[in-house]
Amino acid sequence: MNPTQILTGERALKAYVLLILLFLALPILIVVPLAFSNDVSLTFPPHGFSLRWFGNILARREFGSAFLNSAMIACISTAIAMVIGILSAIAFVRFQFPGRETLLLLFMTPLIFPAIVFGAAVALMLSPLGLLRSVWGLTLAHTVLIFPYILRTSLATLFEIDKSLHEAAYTLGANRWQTFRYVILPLLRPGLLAGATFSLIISFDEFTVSMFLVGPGLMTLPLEMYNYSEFSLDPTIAAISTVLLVITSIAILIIEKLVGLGKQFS
Amino acid sequence: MSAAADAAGVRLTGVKKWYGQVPAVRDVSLGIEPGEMVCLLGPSGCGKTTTLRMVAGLENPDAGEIRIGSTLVNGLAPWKRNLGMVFQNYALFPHMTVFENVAFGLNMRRLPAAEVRRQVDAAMAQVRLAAFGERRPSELSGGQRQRIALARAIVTKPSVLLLDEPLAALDKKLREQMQVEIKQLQRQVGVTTIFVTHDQEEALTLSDRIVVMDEGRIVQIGTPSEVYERPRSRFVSDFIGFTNSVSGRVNSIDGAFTRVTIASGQVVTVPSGAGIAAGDAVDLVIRPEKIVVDPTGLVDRSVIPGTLAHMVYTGAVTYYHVDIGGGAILIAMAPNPDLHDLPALGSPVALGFKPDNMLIFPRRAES
Repeated sequence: MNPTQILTGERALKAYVLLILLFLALPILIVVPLAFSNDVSLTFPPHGFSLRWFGNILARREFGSAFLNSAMIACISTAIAMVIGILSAIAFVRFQFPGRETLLLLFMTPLIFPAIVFGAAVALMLSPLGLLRSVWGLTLAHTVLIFPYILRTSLATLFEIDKSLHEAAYTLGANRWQTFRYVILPLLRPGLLAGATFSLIISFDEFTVSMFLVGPGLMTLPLEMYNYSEFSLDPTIAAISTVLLVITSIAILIIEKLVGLGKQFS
Repeated sequence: MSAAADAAGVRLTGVKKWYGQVPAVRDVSLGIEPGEMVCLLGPSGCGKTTTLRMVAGLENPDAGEIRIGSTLVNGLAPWKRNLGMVFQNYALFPHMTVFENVAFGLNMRRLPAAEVRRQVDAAMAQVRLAAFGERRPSELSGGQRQRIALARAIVTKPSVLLLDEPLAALDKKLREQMQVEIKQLQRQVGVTTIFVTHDQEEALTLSDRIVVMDEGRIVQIGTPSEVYERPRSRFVSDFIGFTNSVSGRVNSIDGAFTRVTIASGQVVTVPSGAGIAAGDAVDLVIRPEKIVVDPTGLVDRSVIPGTLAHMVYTGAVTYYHVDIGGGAILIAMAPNPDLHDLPALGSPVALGFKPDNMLIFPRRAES
């Protein structure tokens, strides 16, 4: 290949990558301008500029309460999943026990199990317990859903912690708890932070499973948005989406600054 | 050398350890004096690291007793043993500064902050890294990490210092420098030290006594010169230093002396070895530096003639590979004190050795 050919090849590759990025970002590029549209319906390109759809979010109380529900469920289920996830990860990394591989596989199933089947199953299970249309039922379901994410990031981080660091701490006079508190936990922190962020986003965003468990008086934000868009297709939905986009972007940026997000996918 | 006030002896009695069905340590008994520096030497898988880890409390023995000072430590958690340990990869805490690393053991002992600072500063000065407190371990070179790991291990004034292949990760030059530093530091502190290595040179340089291990057992304990000069078995003589070996058959035994017919047909007289009878197949073993090339004018030497087959010139010394007939090659090492002409390949050479320096062992079974 001569230099000109290589140059053409490079250009083609750049154009290709750009095209893919554009394709991935296109929905976002459309939704944001729509939020500031002055039209009464969702049409692209938007005409005029207005902030009234953001005003509408605040005016309609159901969005506020759905937002609070979603935020609370995301926080509580993440907190529970983190405690269970870290402890399970430690057990998987430090101990050999019968059924270890099977259990690990079982814990990971929510990642691959069809959400619609899982949702129906959870609804059938929670109904006789009286946990249908209850915040606690929903929190429980979300905990199960996000648990694998926490477990995975904890496992990845724990595997990177050299066993001799435990042993060094022991020989220096630190007991098990002190070793965990002063050596292991600080080293786990970046991984846990990343796992927690993903969990918060996934729980907040969850639709399919939640659909089976919500009802009058208990709505999550994604479902409230869906309900709203069934009756009125105005840019309010685009405005909410924009708000969520901003919140998520800030969270991702913070994580990236703190720990480097790329590491969590390798 | 005076032992520090809190240096403790270590005594292992009949210690055994299995990993599943595999015996890692079989019946090790060993006494280490307060302030002594003892090396566990052997090939990988000989049980030396397992033995060290049992002293540390990181493994529990399946049988036998381990005492540190007068305390029986079987089953005692490692954090209750007042030890210092340096790991092969140093195991410095990556999220802490160098200062925090060294301070860790003192903080676990709940010393007041001012006292922690004073002792950490002293320890870091002792390893000549006083100005490095605020750095992260990742910002240090290999030798510096090694020294910080040492400072962290000794700052708590441990009753025993354990070193697990402490120099294996360093290059040759740095390793030699660190050997000297470790030895000096150990003398200064006076702490009882056990270290594990597979490097015989390290063992010879650093130890007061060497414990040679093979297949989970102790095969010889002695000072470096005892182990080097008077190895008790072929295994020890092969493992420590380079050895020549010539096979032969015992001709006759006359009290302290044994006459052996070697492969080339010559008869050599050597000091008698234990458990060897007339007619036995034996190996005669001698170190290259105990063989003199051209022993003209020297007394008390047995002489074997041969022809020079090969030469390896290494600067300070030259190795002469001499064919003594019957397929046997003896290697002699001689220093190069003056600029001199080396003999030509193929020329006749006479080799001389003191019979005392020739050791006799039963012929090793072919494996």
